[in-house]
Amino acid sequence: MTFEELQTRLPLTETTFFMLLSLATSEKHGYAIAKDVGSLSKGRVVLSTSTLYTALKRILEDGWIARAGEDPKPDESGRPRKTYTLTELGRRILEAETIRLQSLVTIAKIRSAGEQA
Amino acid sequence: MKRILGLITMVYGMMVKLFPSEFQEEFGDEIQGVFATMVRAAAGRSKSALAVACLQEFRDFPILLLREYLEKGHEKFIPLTTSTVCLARGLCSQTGSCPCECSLFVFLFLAFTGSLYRFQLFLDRKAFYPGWDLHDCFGWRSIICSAVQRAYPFRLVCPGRDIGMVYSPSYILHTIHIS
Repeated sequence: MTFEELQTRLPLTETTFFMLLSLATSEKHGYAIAKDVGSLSKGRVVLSTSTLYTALKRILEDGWIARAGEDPKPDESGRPRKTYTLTELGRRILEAETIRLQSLVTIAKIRSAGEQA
Repeated sequence: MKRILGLITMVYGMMVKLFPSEFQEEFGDEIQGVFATMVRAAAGRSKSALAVACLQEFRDFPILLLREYLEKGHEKFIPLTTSTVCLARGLCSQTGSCPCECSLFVFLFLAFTGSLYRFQLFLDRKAFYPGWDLHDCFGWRSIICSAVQRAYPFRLVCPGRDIGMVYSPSYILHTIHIS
């Protein structure tokens, strides 16, 4: 996917951005992603289970994440927990969004510095 | 408490069965497992935390369910949306009160979700969607339109004007037309 093609997928929603960011460091199962999104957003983004899984489905279909396998530790009810990992495309999307957000902040800082001067 | 948790999990399990079969096959077990873990963790904190967790879950559910069906162009919803949207479209354009062209069907459907959002505001202000201005939140139209925006976070273009991140009857009709 070229840079221009990547740009057409932006901007990401806050939920998608935090989900990709959560998977950037390591593969995680659904519950861990939800918890991590909560802590990354300092409690602002609280994902319900159905929101989490419909979003996961969407980014799985887009090829931004992939199933990585099963967590060796099952959940409390004994169900196996499937884990997800960021794909190369997902990483590039995340990087492109981060660059976009950085450029917004830079523009805002320049403008507010200009107003103060 | 164990009984209540069992009951909540059972009800949620039944609700998950409303999703399209492909979704259930792929995520059914997983989603129920995560929900059970979430409600147990919330119950461990406090009763109000459990109430907020359940409310949030049941609040988001109808919109997400509708979205899954509409994305797949599922047959179950098509006759209902086609007729209701066609009827409601005229009504909406006559009153001219709704900037996002909410159809009567979507409006009624989301009134339930909107009321849950409102109720959650009273229970836990922090859990309320942070991007909303509290002043705006007290208008029913704002609540419902914001609920739709939250559920459909993608851009839609209507003939003649870009309506932004809002679900519209044009989109429903477009989806039906495609399917």
